[in-house]
Amino acid sequence: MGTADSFDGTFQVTPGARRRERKPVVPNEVFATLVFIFTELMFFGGLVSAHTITRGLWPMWPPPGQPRLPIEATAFNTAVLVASAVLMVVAGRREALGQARAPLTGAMLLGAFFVAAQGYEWVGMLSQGLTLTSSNHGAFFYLIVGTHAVHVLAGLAVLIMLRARLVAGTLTSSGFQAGRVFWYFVVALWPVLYWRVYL
Amino acid sequence: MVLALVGAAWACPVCGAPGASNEAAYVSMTAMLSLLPLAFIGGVAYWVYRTATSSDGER
Repeated sequence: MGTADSFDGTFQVTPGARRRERKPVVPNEVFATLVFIFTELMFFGGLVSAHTITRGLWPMWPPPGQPRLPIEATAFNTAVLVASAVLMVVAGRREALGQARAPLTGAMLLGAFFVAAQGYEWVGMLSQGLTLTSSNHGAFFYLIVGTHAVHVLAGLAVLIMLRARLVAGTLTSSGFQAGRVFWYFVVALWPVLYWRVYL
Repeated sequence: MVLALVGAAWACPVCGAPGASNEAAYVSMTAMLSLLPLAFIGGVAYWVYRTATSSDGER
C-alpha cells in the first residue's frame, strides 16, 4: 500500500491509485503579478485621464511661457527601453537552455540607462524653470513621468534579484516569468505615457 | 421636471464642459477608464483559456 505526500504523512491511498501531477495553468507568482499590474493600470489610467482633461482646458499645450519637453531625446530613450523588453523576451526563450544570463544583464543595463537619461532630462527641465509647482504642465510631467520612473526602478530591483538567483541556481521558472511580466508592463506603459505627456 | 433636469445635465462635465476639446477629453477618458478594466480582464481570461486548452492538447 502506498502513501501520499500529505501534511502529516499518514494519508493512505487505495492500492493501484496513481498520483497525478497537476500543473497550474497560471503560476501563483504570475497571477499575483497580473493582479498587481491591474491595479497599476487603473492608477496610471487615472493619471492619464486627469492630464488629458486638464490639457483640454488649454487652447495650446504646453501652456504659453512653459518650456518644451525634449521629444527627440526621449524618443531615443523610449527605443532603449523597448530594446530592454526585447532582450527580456530573448532571456525568456533561452531560459530552458541555461543561456538567459547575458540577455537579462543587457535588459538590466538598458533599463538603468533609461532611468539615468530620465534623471539627466529632469535636471535640464528644472534648470529651465519647470518644477512641480510652476504650472499644471510641470505638475503632471513630474507626477506621471516620476511615477513611471519609480516603477522602472522597482523593475530594475526585480531584474537584479532575478539575475542573482539565476547565478545562484535558485531561480524558478515561474518566478522568472512573473518578473518578466512586470518588466513587460513597465516597458509597454511608457510609449503610452510618452504619447500623452510629450507629444 | 424638465427644468429641474437641466441643472443636473449641466453638472455633468461630459454634457456641459467649457470647451469642445475639454468635452471630447471627458468623453474619451470616460470610455477609456470604462473599457480598460474590461479589456485587461478579458485579455487575461483569453490567455488563461488559450494556455489551458494548449496544455490539455499536450496531455
